[in-house]
Amino acid sequence: MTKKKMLAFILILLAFVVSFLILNRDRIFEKKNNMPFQISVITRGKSTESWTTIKQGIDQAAKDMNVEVSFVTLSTENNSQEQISLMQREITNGANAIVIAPANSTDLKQPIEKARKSIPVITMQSTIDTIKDLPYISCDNYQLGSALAEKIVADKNTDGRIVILRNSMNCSNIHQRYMGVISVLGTVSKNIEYWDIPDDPQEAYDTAKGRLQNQKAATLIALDGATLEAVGKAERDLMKSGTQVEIYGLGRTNTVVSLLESQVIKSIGVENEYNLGYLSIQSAVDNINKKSNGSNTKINFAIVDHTNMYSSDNQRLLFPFVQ
Amino acid sequence: MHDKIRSIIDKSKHFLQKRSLQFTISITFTAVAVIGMVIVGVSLSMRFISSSEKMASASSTRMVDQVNFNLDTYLRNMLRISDSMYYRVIKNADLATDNISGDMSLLYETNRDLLISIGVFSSSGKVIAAEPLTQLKSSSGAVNQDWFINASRKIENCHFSTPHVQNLFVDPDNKYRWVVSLSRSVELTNAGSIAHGVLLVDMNFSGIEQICKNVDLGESGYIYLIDGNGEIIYHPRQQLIYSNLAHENNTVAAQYDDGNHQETFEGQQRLVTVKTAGYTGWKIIAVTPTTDITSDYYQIKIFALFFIFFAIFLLIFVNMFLSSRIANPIKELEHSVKDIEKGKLSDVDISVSSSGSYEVQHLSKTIRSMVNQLRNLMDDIVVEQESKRKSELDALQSQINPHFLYNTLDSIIWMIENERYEGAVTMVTALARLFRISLSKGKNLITVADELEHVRNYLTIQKIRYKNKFCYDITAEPGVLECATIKLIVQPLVENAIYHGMEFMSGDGEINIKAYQKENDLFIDIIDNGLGMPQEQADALLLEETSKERGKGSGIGLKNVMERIQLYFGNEYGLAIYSEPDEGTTARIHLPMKTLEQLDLGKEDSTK
Repeated sequence: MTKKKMLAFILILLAFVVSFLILNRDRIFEKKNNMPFQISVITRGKSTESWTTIKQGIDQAAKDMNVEVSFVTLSTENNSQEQISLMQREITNGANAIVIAPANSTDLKQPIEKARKSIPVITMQSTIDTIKDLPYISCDNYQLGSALAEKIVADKNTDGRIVILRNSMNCSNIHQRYMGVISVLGTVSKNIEYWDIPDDPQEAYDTAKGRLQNQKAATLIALDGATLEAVGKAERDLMKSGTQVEIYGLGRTNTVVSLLESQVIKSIGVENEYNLGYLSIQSAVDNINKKSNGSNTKINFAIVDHTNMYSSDNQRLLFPFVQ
Repeated sequence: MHDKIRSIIDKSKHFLQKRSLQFTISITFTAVAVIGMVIVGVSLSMRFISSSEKMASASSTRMVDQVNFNLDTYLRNMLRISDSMYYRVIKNADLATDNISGDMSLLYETNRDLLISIGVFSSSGKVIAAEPLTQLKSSSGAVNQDWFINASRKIENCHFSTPHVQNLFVDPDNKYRWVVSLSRSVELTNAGSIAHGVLLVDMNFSGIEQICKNVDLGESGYIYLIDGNGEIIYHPRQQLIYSNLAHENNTVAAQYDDGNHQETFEGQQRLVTVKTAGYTGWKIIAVTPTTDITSDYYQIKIFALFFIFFAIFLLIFVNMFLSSRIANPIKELEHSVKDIEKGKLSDVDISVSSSGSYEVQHLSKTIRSMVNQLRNLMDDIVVEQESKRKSELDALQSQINPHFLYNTLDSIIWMIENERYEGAVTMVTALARLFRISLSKGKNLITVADELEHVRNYLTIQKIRYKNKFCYDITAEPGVLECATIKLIVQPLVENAIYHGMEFMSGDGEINIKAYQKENDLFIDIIDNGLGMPQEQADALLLEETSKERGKGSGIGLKNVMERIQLYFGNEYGLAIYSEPDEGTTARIHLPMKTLEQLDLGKEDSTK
């Protein structure tokens, strides 16, 4: 056995070992690659029931895409300062992406721009229009608002005094909904008023109740679920005393649904919140993997009243499938 | 076909015959090993693939059977609840007098984990009894719901609905639950008269979910449940499907028969196992993506390939090693034999190797002894030949032709009788010298000077005998006189010149003998101006055996002279004859330019 042959033998053996390692790198290095992404979801309010369906979607997506989601809620509704500090905390804690429902389009602009430099930021429900190319998962809120308004027109509830309940108007989605509603109702009614409803549910309930008692209104329009629930409850409690107001609104909670069923609320517009949660995580993962297609995903929505709420499509939208 | 195979075999045989033993051994071993490895690898991996496919489908079938069994048990429980309610409670009660709520409550309480609600409805949709909630929603309209319609339409059957949100009773907690409804038509006795009603058992959907959820079907396999129309009853990603984010091939699957199917859905190959559950007509469908089964194949194929290559590599190496171990001694032996072929007998002793296996060792030993024997034989032959030649030469040399001696002595007598004593003395002296040099103490090699002296004496005698019919001249360059020559090689040539050149000549003959050096070689020319002959005849002289005309000359032929020169000094030396008719003949002896001492030293060296 010459030295050359021995050398060739060892070289080929080494080549085999190396190729063996390359072939099995998946198995050997798998654990590293499979480290789940950390994604933080920051809501724009307290942990309320209105987030359950979104959270279900988020959880399903987390399971499907092997993501660890930390779901962060605020101590008070629409607290943009708290949102900013929480976002910074999550980034420091090593989140790979942030999914956020900005409480305020102006306050959060800079922090989000800053955060985007290090990790992907996805906005859900509301967004910040002034930031270019910010991924945004939501239904078309303008369409949602105008669809609800068209329902009001179709129900012929435009003759009396129309009151739009304003809350969280700094959120882009609420604003868009408002614009949608106005775009339709503005042309058919001159009699539109605005009530400002506070963020806190109890305060909102009280305010709505007081207003309903004192100021007669024919049609109420709530632009988000919490306000709708507050005003619906107030109306339910006042119905015995004989107030008669048609309530329309956007968003859902179980109470809202039951009020819809008992026809306290006339009609509601709901977006597919489950999809909202699912797709926001999916988009975050895509952004982390740099696979983002750039376009903002639009979620489907439906306008539901008590007659069609148990149709097979609508019941899937209204009643989260608990699994 | 047969011929083709034959020709291939022949070709490969031919090919291998040209190659070395080592090559043949390693190539055949390797080919056999590779074929073996490939066959083993391929058959094993095929076996593995088919068995794992079988295992996958078997495990799907087993899982589906298990789920079917559980589901069947679950649904039978539901049916039993419904049956108990109907046959034990409703049948035995007259609604006008009896209250069935207590029994219903008991039944509900014992099965509350499985149930959402139990209710008995009149044909108009009014609640007769219900648990746990009793107040119907104003908007519910039981008669319009599918379960009520189905029960009323086919009164002999029990009906299972697809999952839906229960919306019958007022719930103070505003809870909306997904349920699967089991409804049947019942006969209600009211004050003796019989009316139709509907018994509704709402099963908790999570009961079904529990059965299907924790089924292990590999990495991404799962089980889902559809009804006879393909409507999804349970799916692990039900909400996603309801939200249009995921899709399922349920409508197609509804058409499948029980058993295993392969389908491609959304670009994914999947193994689908279908089982129709008894009574409900629901189908349990287990989905295993083929990639789940085959993801391992890729790895295993790669591993198999890798190991095959690795084994082949090792085998090639081992084969090379082994074949070199086998072939190298044979090769060495072959080299030795080649050397023997070339005649290097003397070197062989060192190079006939004795390494390798026993057989080769034996072979080399035999060859060695054979070579030794051969060498001894050859040596013997050489010695024999040499001694033979030597004795022959000796005999030749000692052959001073008696005729010549007689003639010479006769001439001497004749001279003495005529009182020409001087001439007689000259002749006797020359004869005596001639003999002395002829003998030269038995030496074969003498100096050129002696040889020329010998010739001179011979010519002296002959000149007298031939009555001065010719004259001669002997010249030698001084440098050549001390050089060695074989004795008695000039004299036969001179003799030839006299007998063939002078005897029949009319005029005076001339014989010139010249010894000179040319290009480091020694030449002795014997030139006569005799009759001469054609060149062909002259050339033939060198090939002729000893002259037949014995008696006249010394009897030593030209060929003999030539052989002797070549025997002593090699084939590059020898004798040449140039002749032309009527012009004369030149015989040229060509010898190496060496003194006696030099030759002696050379001989000593070679014997050493």
